[in-house]
Amino acid sequence: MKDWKTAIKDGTRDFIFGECELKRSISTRYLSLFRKWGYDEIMTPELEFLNVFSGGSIDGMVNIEDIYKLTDEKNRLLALRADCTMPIARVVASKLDHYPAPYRLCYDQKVFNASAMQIEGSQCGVELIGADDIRADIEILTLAVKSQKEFFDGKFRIELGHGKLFGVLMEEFQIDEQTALKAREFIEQKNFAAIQAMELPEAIKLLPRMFGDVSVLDSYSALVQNSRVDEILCYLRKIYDILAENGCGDSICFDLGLVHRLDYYTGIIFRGYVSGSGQTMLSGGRYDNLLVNYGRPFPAVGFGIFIEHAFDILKAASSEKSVPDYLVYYEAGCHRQALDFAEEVNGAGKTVLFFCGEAREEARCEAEKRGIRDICYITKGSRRIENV
Amino acid sequence: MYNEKNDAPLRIALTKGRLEKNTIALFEEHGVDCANLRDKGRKLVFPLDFGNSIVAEVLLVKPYDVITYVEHGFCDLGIVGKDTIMEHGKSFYEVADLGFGKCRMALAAKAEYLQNPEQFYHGYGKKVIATKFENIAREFFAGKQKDIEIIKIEGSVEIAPLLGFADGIVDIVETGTTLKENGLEVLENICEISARLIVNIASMKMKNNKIDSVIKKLGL
Repeated sequence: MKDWKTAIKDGTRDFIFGECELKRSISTRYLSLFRKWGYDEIMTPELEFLNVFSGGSIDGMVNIEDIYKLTDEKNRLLALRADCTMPIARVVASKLDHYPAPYRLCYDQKVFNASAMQIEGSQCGVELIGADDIRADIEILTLAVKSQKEFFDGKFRIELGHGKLFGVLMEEFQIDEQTALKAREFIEQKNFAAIQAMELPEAIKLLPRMFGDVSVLDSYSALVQNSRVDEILCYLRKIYDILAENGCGDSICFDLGLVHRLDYYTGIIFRGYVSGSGQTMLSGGRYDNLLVNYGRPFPAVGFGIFIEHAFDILKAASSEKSVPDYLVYYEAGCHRQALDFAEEVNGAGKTVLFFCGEAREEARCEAEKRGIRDICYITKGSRRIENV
Repeated sequence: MYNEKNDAPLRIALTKGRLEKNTIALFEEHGVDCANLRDKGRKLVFPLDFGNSIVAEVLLVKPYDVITYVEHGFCDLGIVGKDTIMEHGKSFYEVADLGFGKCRMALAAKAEYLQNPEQFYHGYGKKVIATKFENIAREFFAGKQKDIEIIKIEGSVEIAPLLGFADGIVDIVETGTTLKENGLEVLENICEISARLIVNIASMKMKNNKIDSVIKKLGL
């Protein structure tokens, strides 16, 4: 039997040498951006009760099949963190009632999902809980734009849709549940032909084609004469106008056919893409029905950035292992002097590597192997730096 | 400001083999010169001119690989059979039914069941199904609340019922001749199959104009 001692599971990965630094620097930059606007960091357990992620009174929680489960010593069902927002909602509902709402929280945590390409992935994001004003939506969208500008200026797009549009259309045209389910699947796939073949009003058949720049809002509005649809389109237009005023207009596009997780999202829905990557870089929206599940009804909006997706684009530039500046050779008994030297050059921003041995020639070999330029030989009473 | 023109060229994954000829015919019918694709030698990537100054890199790969390349975003578009999409597909857009490569996915069993297909599902005994399409078969029978055991067979699944180690097969049926010759009959159609045009989700948004113009060029 294979013992898997040296293998790692598909969908997980090791980060090695400079990769760690790169990965950490990505989330650090995101977090420091979020902190500037008053978002406080929160860390939740890796292991939680399964009910935090699944079941409960609202739909749209994590698919039970996608959750990694364990049992605890009392045979209760536990889950590896299957979502970042749900535990944060739990904390807000159960522990923060002494603090004033709205809550601005950010995180950098791992998420485990059995059906994702990356079953263990890092996400960094923000939640603005307790505010349903348009200002809250604008704040979150602006942060999404800013976060992408950090690394991908001029190369990204945020696409915007609305989680209520599909439901409103189904109600207005009195579409039965079965048909609605089918239509939603085809809209999500942008299966133009299949939805065209269904018996549906044009306004629904054309929904998957309604993506692109801000002009789709007008095109769609001309197609559907309906006050509730108009209300949604006007809201999106208003958001766009404000973002455009703030110089973010170029990076915003629309897709009125965004229908993923409709039982979760109750307002704006958005995703981010970067040129040259086939992956979704971030995903978010308004989820006003989640918090009630944990006992305190609050409107909320937020997004999460998929760190590995950003990492994959950025790593091409810097995955090399960093080379220390000095190899430090020291004679037995000179430990103190060696540490002094390290302290000195560390203070000047340089890095050292201590040689573990007595033979001077071997120290030289090691420096050559690792590409280290300078060796510092420390003997009793003397210190000599030699260029390799 | 993001400008689509500066993005990498479009990359299209085509299914080699069964769908290849029809795909080339579709391209040529709409004025895309496929000379280098017809005369491919050992090359793997071919530039094709879709007009509007769009020159796409075209790859010919196995069906499942089309899905992989498009899903991961290494290719922006792909042409692949609905059977492969149903068996393996996850998240991408499926924008058009290309109308060729038509056939159906069906459940077939020994001809004697044809008199009374209900008999096939009758009773609580587990039925053994030989198929190359494990997921499709599993999904189909889950809908019928019938326990099955799936035996994965790569080719000529018709043999399995003949040898007596399977009760039925789930497979692609074109004319039904092979089935008949082996004493099998279609008990139930699962779905219609044909070639589909699929698109990576991010590409659809980031290279919208280019992709749109390829779709239009192909008359879709």
